[in-house]
Amino acid sequence: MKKIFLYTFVFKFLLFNLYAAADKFVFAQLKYPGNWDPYPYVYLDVLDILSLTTSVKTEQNRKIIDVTSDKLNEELAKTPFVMLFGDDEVKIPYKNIKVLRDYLINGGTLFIEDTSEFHYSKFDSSIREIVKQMFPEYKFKKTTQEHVLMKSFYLIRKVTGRVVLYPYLEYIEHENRPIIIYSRNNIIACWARDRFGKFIYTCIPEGEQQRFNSQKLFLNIIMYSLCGTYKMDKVHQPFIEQKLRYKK
Amino acid sequence: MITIKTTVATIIFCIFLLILLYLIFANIGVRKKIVVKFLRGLLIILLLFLLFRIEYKMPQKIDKINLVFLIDTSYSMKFNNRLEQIKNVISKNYDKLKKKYNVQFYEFNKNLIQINETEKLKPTKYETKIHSAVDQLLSILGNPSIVFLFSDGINNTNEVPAVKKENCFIIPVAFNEKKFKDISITDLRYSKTGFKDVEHKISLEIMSFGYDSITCNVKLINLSNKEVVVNKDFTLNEGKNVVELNFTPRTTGKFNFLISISQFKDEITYENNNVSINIDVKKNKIRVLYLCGQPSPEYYNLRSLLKNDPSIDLVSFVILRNPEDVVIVPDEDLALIPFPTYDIFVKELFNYDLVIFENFSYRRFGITNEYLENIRKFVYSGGGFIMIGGENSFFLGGYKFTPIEEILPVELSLDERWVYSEFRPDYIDYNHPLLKIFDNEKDNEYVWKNVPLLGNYQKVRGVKKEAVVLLRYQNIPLMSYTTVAKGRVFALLTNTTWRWTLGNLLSEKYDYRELYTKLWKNIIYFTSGAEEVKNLYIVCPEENNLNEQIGINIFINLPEEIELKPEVYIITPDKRKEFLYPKKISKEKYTTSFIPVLEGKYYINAIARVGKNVIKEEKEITVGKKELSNELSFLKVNVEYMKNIADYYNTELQYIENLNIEHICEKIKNVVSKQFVSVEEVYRKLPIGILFILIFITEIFIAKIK
Repeated sequence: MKKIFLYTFVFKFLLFNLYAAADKFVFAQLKYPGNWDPYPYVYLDVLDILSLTTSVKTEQNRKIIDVTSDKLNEELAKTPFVMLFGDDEVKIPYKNIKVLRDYLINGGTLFIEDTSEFHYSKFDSSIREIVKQMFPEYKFKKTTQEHVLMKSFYLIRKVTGRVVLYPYLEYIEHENRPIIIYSRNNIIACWARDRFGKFIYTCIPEGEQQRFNSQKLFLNIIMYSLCGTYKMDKVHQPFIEQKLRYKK
Repeated sequence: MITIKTTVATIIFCIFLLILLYLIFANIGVRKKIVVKFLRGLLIILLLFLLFRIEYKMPQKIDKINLVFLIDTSYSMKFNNRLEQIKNVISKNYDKLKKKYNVQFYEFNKNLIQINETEKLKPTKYETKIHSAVDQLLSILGNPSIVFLFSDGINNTNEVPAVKKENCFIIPVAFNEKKFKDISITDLRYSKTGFKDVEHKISLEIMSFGYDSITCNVKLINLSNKEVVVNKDFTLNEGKNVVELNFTPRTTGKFNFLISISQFKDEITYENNNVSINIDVKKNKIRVLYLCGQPSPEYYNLRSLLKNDPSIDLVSFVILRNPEDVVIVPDEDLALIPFPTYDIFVKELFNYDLVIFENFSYRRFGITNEYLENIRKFVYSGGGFIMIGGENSFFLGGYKFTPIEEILPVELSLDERWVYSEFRPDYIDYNHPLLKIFDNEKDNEYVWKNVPLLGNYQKVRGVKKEAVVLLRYQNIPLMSYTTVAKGRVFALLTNTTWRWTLGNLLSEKYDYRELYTKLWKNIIYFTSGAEEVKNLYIVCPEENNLNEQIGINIFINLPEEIELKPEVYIITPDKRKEFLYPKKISKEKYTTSFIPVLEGKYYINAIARVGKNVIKEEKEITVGKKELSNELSFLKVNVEYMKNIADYYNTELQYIENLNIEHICEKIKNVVSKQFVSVEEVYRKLPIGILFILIFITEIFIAKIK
């Protein structure tokens, strides 16, 4: 009897987790041969803060999608936003690069984080090569202060991460919509904690203030994946401009 | 008078005759029988008759000439007792005339009809084509005939009759109305399609007979609510006057307008002082208010779709933070704005065409029942409302016992649940226009049957009786709509249609993003009542006159940041392509014009290029055909036209006031009698051929016996 109850519970739990992805935010990460998961528990903090501070409903389990899998298309078809992290060379089969292209063109969004913290990294060069294959017609653009990612929830005045290698995010735009967002400041490391809840990595150069700013930027990226360019609508502009002026 | 006709056959027979003569004279010496000679002589005479086709003509006595009264009974004949005058003239003369002539009566309006008497004739409501009636009559009349054509000459074209027949005389009879006074609307030029909030122009031609330099008023009245839309005074002069009426329609729909001009004393009628017209006012942009309760992929994709449609003006609000959520930064660090409840539900609501609630609960934001009542009123007055499912929609959103419940197509109940499950709709109304995504029926069915799985649904109790269900899953009306008064309400019980945009990852053959885009556009356009919103509009009068300038306005319905100049060309009735050069009036409006020199259908084409996309619009207009009938707009007797008919038949125009039918008939009869001859063809009168053969055989037989 206990076994039946246990199986039923597990089954229901799995079902819930499978279907809950339908209208909730899912922390979906692309897995590839290599260091694809530099900060394995970061997603828990991200989801906690997201559900605590915003109206976004979150799925508590992380979704991992194998980017080399033959069934990549089936997995991506149910996941509107995916992330790819790493510090070393990334290899994606050519046919799956095409799948990723279709995914992004048809409404998906990809966030890429170079966690190497180097100006020149294998991760960066391989990513640029993959993106070039994926979208030969597009080039990376750089965000400005007016970009939607700077105001999709928090008003961000500086692009930072654990480090500040570049004061901007890069993105590939398709039909007026950023479809690939690329960070090189290692934003994701700002969330990493040890088992006692203490942040593992110091943020350089501005410390905790920089961490907080980076965390807000990451939440903005997530909010963008759910609201699009909502904050660029005319109705918001006078309010946002007023707030920016006040802060100055 | 005897005539002889010579042909090639005649020459051949002459040779044969010579041979025969030779035979006669050759036999003289051998057989001199009188009978044979007689027979041969007779043969020669017969041959001559036969070969030379001898005939003769002689004057013929005419018993009775056809006297035909062709009477116009079209609508215009009711004015100034025109038809009564004709009846009086005929009845006065009928007894005398019927003794001498074969009197016949015909009436004509849109058809020609033979009648026995004129007493019961009444004006009809029809218009007429005089030339066509005369042509028809002449084609059935025997000769000689005298036709009195009684008409006011008000013809719907300027064509004169084409048929002429020997010894048929057409005498046009008109009316001499010296004190004719009338003011009438004679021509209208306007586009039958107008656009909400875009100025609409009606050009009015008013003809004045007997009134000069007086102040006249013209009104444009919306007959549905009796509202006077335009009220304009102008100075009316004798002859043709042109007045322009401009107004800006504020609501969409098909409207019946009345154009009415002042009525003056002694006018022949006031009937032609009013004209009723229909204008279909459409939306040129759909204004959508989209309220979403929480950020979600559905919001991301639907907002993106609406934002990228140039025909849609979108204002959207998504609740990024609920009152209970923790604030970890000062307000100036949040890119949030206060939810403008009052502005949305009171001030601005009626400026939208469509309101969408997605997973949006009214309870957190001080939205009272009164505000929801405004939504109900908005729908009743013609607005569209869409509710998309979610944990904060329908019953779960607290809409039970609110004015929203009344307008929804689904039933709200306590046992409603929000269910996560992967499924496909198991009932699809393929025939419904909203679900017709692909033209090919088989493709359409296949695409719907294999649509990517949805991820959740609102388990409602059921659907209301009057609702139309498009998609169903296990008795759950996934997609349904209903019409509420003038508006439409659409209910979608899932918020995972975004998965269909990514369906292209699962299918190589079919474009599921296209399905998603078309389906949502269909839903948005249908629910907002704006099925035909386009990016480019051509506005010009549909019916135009020859050799008169036609003004064309091109309206561009694209986002502000897109600036372009349209190419405009016309296809003429003789299939020539002529380019026009539009002039920029504003960012959204270009204008051009042309003068048509041919009657028939013209096609106006406007093309605009936005990147790789080509937006094209075509409009058909007619030149030469008038909407207003001359039967009412031009009531003055058209003496000129009647004179043209008289000239064509070499007769004289008569006026009914001093018409002497008997005198005219006698005069013509004298001429006719001298002209008429009868023709007697000798060779046809007798069976000469047979006689000739018989005599010839007899002659040979006698000659042989001997």
